[in-house]
Amino acid sequence: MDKTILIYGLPQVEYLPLIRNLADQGFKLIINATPLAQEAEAAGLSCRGWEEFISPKIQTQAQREVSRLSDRLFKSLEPEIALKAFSSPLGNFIPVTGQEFFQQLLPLLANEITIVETLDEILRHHDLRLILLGCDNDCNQRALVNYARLRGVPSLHLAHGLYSKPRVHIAGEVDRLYSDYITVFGARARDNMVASGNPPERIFLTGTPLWDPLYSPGARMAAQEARRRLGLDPDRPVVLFCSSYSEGSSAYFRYRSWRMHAIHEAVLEAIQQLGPQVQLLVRPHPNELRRALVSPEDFSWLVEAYQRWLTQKGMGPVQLSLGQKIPALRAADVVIVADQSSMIPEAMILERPTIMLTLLKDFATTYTEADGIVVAEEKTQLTEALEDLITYPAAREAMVNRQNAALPELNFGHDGRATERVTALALELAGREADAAPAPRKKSLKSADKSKSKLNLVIAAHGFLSYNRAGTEIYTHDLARAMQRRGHQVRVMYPIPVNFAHDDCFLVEGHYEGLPVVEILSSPLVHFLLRHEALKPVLRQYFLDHPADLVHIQHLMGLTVSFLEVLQELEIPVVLTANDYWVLCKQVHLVSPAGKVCEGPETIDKCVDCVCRHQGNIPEEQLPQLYYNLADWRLTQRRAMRLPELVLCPSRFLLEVYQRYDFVNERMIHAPQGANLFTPAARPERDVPPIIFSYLGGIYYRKGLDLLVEAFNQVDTARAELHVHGDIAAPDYFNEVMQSVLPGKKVTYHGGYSPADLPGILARTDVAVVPSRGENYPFVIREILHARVPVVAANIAGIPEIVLDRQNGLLFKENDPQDLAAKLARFIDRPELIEELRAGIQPMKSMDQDAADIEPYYRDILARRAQGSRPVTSARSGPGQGLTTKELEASIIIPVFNNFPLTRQCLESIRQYTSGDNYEVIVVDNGSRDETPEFLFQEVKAGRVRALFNQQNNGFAKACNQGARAARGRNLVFLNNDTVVTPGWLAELLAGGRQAEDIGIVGAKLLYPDDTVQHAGVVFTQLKNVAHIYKNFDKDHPAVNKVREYQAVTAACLLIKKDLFFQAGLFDERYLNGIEDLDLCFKIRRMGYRVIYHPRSVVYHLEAQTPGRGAKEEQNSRLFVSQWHDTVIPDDFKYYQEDGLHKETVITPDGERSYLIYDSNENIFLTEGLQLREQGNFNKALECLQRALKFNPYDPRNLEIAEELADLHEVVGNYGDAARYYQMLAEKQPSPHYYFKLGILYKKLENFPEAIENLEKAKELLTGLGDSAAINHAVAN
Amino acid sequence: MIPRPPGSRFFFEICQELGECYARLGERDKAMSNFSQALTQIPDQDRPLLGLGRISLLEGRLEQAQEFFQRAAEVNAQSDEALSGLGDICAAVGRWDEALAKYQQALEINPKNRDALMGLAETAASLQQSPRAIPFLKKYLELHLIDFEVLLRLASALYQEGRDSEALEALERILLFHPENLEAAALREKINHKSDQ
Repeated sequence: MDKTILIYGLPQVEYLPLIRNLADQGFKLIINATPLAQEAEAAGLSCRGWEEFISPKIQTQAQREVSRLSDRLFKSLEPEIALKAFSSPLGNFIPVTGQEFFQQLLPLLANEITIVETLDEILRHHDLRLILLGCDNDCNQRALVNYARLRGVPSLHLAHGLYSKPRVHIAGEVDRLYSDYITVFGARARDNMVASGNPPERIFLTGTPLWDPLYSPGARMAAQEARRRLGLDPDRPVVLFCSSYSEGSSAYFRYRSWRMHAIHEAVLEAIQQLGPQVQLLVRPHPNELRRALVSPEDFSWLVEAYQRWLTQKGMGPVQLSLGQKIPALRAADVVIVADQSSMIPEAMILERPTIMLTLLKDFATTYTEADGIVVAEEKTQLTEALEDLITYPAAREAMVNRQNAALPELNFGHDGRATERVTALALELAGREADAAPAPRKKSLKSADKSKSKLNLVIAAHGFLSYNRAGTEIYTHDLARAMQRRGHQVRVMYPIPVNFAHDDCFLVEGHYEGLPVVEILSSPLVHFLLRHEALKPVLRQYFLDHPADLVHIQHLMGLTVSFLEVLQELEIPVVLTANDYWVLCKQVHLVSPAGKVCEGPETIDKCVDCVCRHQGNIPEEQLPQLYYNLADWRLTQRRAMRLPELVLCPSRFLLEVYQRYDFVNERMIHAPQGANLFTPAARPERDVPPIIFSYLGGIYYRKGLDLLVEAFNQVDTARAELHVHGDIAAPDYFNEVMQSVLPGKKVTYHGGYSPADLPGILARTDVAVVPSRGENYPFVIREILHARVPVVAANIAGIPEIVLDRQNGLLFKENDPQDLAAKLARFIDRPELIEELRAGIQPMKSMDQDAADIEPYYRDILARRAQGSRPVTSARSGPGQGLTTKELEASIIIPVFNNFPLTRQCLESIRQYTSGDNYEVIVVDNGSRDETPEFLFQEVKAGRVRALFNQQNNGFAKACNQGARAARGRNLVFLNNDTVVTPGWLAELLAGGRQAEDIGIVGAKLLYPDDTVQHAGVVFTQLKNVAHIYKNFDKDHPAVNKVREYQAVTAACLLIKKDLFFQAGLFDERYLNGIEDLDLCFKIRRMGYRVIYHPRSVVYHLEAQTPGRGAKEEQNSRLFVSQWHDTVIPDDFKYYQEDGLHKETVITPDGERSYLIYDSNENIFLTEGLQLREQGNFNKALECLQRALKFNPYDPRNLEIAEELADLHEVVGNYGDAARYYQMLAEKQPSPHYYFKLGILYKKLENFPEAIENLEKAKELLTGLGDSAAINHAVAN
Repeated sequence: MIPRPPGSRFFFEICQELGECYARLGERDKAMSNFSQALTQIPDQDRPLLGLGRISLLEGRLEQAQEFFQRAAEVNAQSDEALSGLGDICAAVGRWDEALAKYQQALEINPKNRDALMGLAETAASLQQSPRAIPFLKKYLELHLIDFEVLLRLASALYQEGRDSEALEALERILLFHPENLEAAALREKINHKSDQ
């Protein structure tokens, strides 16, 4: 079936270019109104008339239906009651009553029924994609739109004039949008509509094609010429009066309104006062004839009657302009318009001073005095204005200038290109698959293969085309459409950020281009969250009310893991397409701060660092929280990835990255995506070279336009041009890139492009370049190749899976402009390469093929569900499950009190990183009041943990003892819930315990989220104060990586043999949340066992203290001292000495005690950082130096490292970071040099007050130094 | 690490930077004072002289400004800023031809000197000789493709020289990015109107 567009109620010939554009794109047209239909036919466009589809059968059926309805209506209503029912506060809409009223109403019903039936007839024979509507807000159009919407056909209103009028002039709700979408002339009209409550997302600013001809050079004819054409005296001034057709306001044909009559007379009188020299030209509105309810034959009679009336008024014969708008306007010195009318901006566009006469001044208006026009409410105002304007050319010129200034707001673009914009929009709404297989619509689907049932699908994503046009949104739309074409019911569901309170959320149903959509309205913050609890009840209820067979998720952002959880709870199968790296990369695109594809999230620390670099200015104290968030992110997303029945990965690269970092699912497959395939435009004949290189896509750093320009600067200019197409997402970046273009290089920026522009752009392109720094499986490359244009692309991510080097394009080294330049040069040196590569381009996969490939997966999942063999990956057996009689190797005991997210994260990490199943997890809940009990209940139910529930908080020692008593393991591992374990942690801990018989307790290396040490053994100072030795040192400092004995280790992660624990008398429950671990260690040592620190067991400790922890510190200390003071041996210096360190106490400039730890160990990061800096690898050097600073945070050498860092940051342009380091140095060691550097940096940052403050300090310090006398002397002179 | 400057040089740099910061904040007295201090440290440096010149010019002390700019030009014959400043002074007192010459000299040294360029364009326009600015405007635009203000100047100059199609091309480029640019739109209309007639 032909793709078809219905043009309904658009008679104006100015729409012919639009019609031609649509026909050129392969659409068949059905037009219902002349003269446009005649013009289209005359222009040879393939059109059919609406009336062809109205069969006598339809009309008979409509009459029968009307007859039936009228019988029912008359039986149910008395005429008086009916009249009352159809009245309004503004009076009766229908100026007739009783039987007459119904007589007028019934044909209307017949019309509506005929329209609906005719539309159905069209749908049977055509693939109707869109209805374009004219300006009338009548019940026929509304019936058409409503019925089409039910059939999935969108409508676009072209809104001629409608919204420029006061709302009450036309019966009905003029300011209410009834079509799916509307194009409006200008921002003013849009604002009026939005103020009337219309949804802004359905309103498109385009300008109007009706006014495009006014911008043509031919429309600028000289006034004399125009007068000659109209039969006027070319040398005498002319006033043009444009009457209106609004209800009761017809200027002369049926002047029922006394006010309009009076206005008309006022115009005549005003013109008479100007003297006989002035000629009057009257232009009735074309619709006045229709409103006058006379036939065209009667029109001449009306004109004669009007002329007679004018003669009576002393005006003599007056020239009438019928249908010659442009000459009429250009002929006039002044234009008078009756009330709000689109004639006003038309006169303004043609630079004619305009006077508007008000009819109903109390109502909202579109055109006002602010637009430069004169608004005359009284006769005297009209007379005065006319006199001024006719007499003084300067007054006319000034008024035209004012009008010109206002025009862009009234006619968007003010450029005569509205047709282009409306065409693009219409094509967008009608779909652009010119060559795609004919799309069966609803009617024909009834005859589709019945052996396969229609599926009820929901496709969910993080956004949709109504709000954002990016790859995933486009794919979501295209897949939904393709699934619709396969006969399935499809809804698209997506979150919409609105300014709600955090926990508000509700759903709104609607349509997008006839596609049913469900919008989840919730806080914008949801896009940054992992879970959205408020969504759950809303979503649950929605799916209970509107069931779905399967949900296919395109992106979880904004939907959150909660979305998945509800679907799982309701047992709705889920397919997830991993469209990008969002689940494993907070930056979404897996691009490192250095602008290269990131290897992946090996450590959370790496991601923390990356986030800090991308966002900048994250205070150090927020790092633990950031770490926690990222750890939570990773663990939760890993869990989420296991929930869908199937995960589709568009590229192998993405699949591998997901698998490498354990974001896996039992069913995770590589499934290349399709794309909407347009009809490639014909390539223009031309000589090659010059080679036309094109860049297509958004313009911002990740897309790498800078690399392309840098490369292009290096190639032979004479034989190549670079054309850049795309929206500027980062203006500063764009400016910088364009400024880097060398003189003489032919680089042209063409602005953004719409999908309709793509065939044309690619037809003019020899080679397209995709220089991105990060991608997955780019749509744009597939579109380019579909147009048979070879591609030069970065050899990154999923790109090599599409661009096959030397087959359909060339690949260049990531982030390497030299290599890119070499590849570009190959085309310039040997243009025949283009054709060679073009020959290697294979057809791209279409969306219909994509949908056909995906559907069997849906059916397979549903079949397995039906057979009850659903793989429930989340309910896998937990460790220790079914081993009730067997002794386990270890029991991990975790006491908890609130802090539910930490507990969940801790448990997830244990599940993730603990090998084997010969262990159990026992969680002892100390009466938590948050979600912990419910969570633990579910975990127990799933067999993942054992749990003990206390009614109150019994403290750490008691809870641990409870867990120990319940334990089935040979070894007990006490673990805080604010920890995240790492691979091999338990095996190493157990191995440590097995090293010697006399080892009683093993402690792990505990790290902060930034990979610095939180615990590497417990020591006692010379004053017998307890301390964590090497706290804050780098995790790779040699001193923290020795297996060694200590007097004590922390119980945040501590292994002890169970028997020994009980022999020692368990934890002493007199200690309240503190020091019980030291006490246990001392008891064990007293029993002859050793306490060792085993650094190969690594656990992150977030040190998020459980409420109440540390509250009894003094009491605990007293107890410990009373028991062990004499036993404690000061040993910190012993370890320092062994490790080549020397600690020294110092007093800071603020008078506080601090200490330095001199270090004889080589700071390997400093050495490496300096080497990298010498090699020019500044980013890596910065990474190393930053780590060098943490190597030993108390090392006096750190001042030099900080200065190196500051200088290097300045070199790479990170002035803020450089200032941060100099600030730190200035605080530690105030010197004029540091303050001078700070001043320079703040100046570069354009923070002049800060710059001055620091420079003044530098000056003050310098003049106060040794040579101050000389300097002062110099200054004085 | 950056080597620490010795006494007077270091003091010079501090004063110079302070002068520039104060000037940016509009605190001219403090800026003058610091530039003067810098100058006492190293009298043969053009930077403080330029600072002093700019402030004097802003305050309408043209003779003094001229003196500073002249000295800066003597100290550094390649100082495009000094020449541009001298051009500004000439323009301020109506010595148009001389101003044009100074601006041109400045632009020959540094085609990216926007102050000199705009001075040149305005002066040429005042003399009804806008076309004289065309080569310099074009040169600048080769280096700054999207400076629409300069592009509009170029369009205006081209129009004055009767090179309507080139002017229209420049205007279309502006309006492509800034359809709301009324000045450009008006000039385009004017050219179109002229061609209609």
